[in-house]
Order: sequence, then structure tokens, then C-alpha cells
Amino acid sequence: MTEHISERQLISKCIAGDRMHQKRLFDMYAGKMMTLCLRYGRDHLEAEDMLQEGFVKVFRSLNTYTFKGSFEGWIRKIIINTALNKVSKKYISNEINNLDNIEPISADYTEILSMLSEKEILKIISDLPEGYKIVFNLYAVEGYSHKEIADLLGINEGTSRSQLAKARKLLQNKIEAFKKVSL
Amino acid sequence: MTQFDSTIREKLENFDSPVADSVWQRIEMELVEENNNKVLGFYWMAGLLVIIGITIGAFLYFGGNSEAQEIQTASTPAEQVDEADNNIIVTDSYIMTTKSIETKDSSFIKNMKALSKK
Repeated sequence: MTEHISERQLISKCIAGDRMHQKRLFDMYAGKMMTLCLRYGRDHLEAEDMLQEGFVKVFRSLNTYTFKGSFEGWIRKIIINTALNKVSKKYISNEINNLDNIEPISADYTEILSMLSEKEILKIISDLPEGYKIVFNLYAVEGYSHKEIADLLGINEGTSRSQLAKARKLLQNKIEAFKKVSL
Repeated sequence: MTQFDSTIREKLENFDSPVADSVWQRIEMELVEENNNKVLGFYWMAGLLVIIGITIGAFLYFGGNSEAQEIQTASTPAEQVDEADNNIIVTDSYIMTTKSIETKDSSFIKNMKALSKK
């Protein structure tokens, strides 16, 4: 039976190097962070590498956590930065396409999407080209603004918008294809 | 953010993907290695400090003594005036003189004893 322990106590024990509590902290967040890594990684192995490297950084920098804001959010940020360092940003082209040609996603696709399982959505996202995938994840799932994405990736805001629109379009096609296969 | 984005976010934000046990084992190995390196680094630093301490101590001790010797030597009048070789001669002659004084003293005492017997 696991003893009840507050988040602060758990963090303190982890900082002190208590391996059992470090494992406990890992077990608490590993599943969610693995989902995050699977969205950025090219395959399962790369996602596992990101998770491993990310958690080592989490344990190393635990003493810098100031208990301001959510602890999960703090871990998430470290894992995202680790993932971004691992993925190749060279695939993000700096070309800005005319976004007028890209139609907004219809409500039908959103409905199909809600019927898909989490695993299926993960598969569709991880199959996106590198550049589209990074921008889509940062904007749509992580909630970053185009300005933040541009600063983070060293691209301009127009590129971020363009990559997002193209990612949505491609996702739409993939969902359609997925629907046809499953029917 | 569109409804499409929100649906993906809601579906994936709290979804737990299975994690292989090997991931934790690799993390643990890295943490152990890091800890060992820290301990090793501590011993290296401690060893280095001891060596530096001994070196400084030895320098101060021996360096300080030779300085004291220099001061003592410098205060000897014979050495202040003469060359090294002459010092030996001076010292030898001093010994010889002392011996001759001792010899003279003992013969004087003998003579005195003989006179008193008479």
C-alpha cells in the first residue's frame, strides 16, 4: 500500500535522491508525458528517448521548481523543450503560403474526430510531416500563440500560421482516409 | 483555436500511453551514474585540497626554517667577515686554542698539587 504524501513532500524526497519516491513521481506523470512525446517523435523509440531524457532533466532541475503554477505544467514544459531539441527543425520551411486557398475544417471532420480513439488520433498526428507536426502540436494541443511558436522555433509568425493551416488540411485528408478504411 | 483543435486537445491532454519498464530502468541508471560521478568528483576535490595543503604546509615549514637558518648564520661574526674556507680554519684554530688552554690549565693544576704536597 502506498502512503499518502503531499506534492511538496514528494518533491522534497525526490530532491534528496530517494529513489522510491522518484519512481513514484515518474509513474504519476509518465503516461501523460509519453502521449506528449509520441506526438512529437517520429516513432515509439524516439518518443521513449525523449521521455527518458526529459525525466532525467526533471529530476536534475527539481530544486529549481518554485511551487508557483502547476507542477504538471512545469514537467510538461521540460518535456516539450526536450522533444523540440531532439526533433529536427530544419524541416520547417520558412516559406509563407497564401492561406486564402485553404478552406476551414468543416464540422463533419470534428465529429469524425470525436469518434476516433486517442490511439488513432495519436497515429494520425505522428504521421504528419515534421514541420507541420511541431507547429500543430504547439498551437492546437499545447496552446502556444503564433508569436511564442515563432520565438521558440526561430521562424516568423507567418510561417507558423502557414504550417498550421497546412497541418489542419493534411489532418483532414488523413481523417477522411481513416474513415474510409474503417468503414 | 478551432473546434477541431479543441477536440484533439481534449482527447490527448490527459491520455495515458503505456510506458515500458525499460524507460525507468534507463533513467535510474543515469541518475545512479550521475550520483557516482558526484561522489567521485567530491573525492577528487578532497584529494586535491589535501595535496595543495601538504604542499603549502611543506613550503611554509621548510621555507621558514631555511630562512631562520639564514638569519642565524648571518649573525655569526666569523662568517660575516671571512670566506667559507677560512671559517673552517678559524673554527679549527678555536678548537685548538681551547684544547691548549685546557692542557695548560690541567698542567697548572698538576704543578699546584705537587707544590702543595711538598
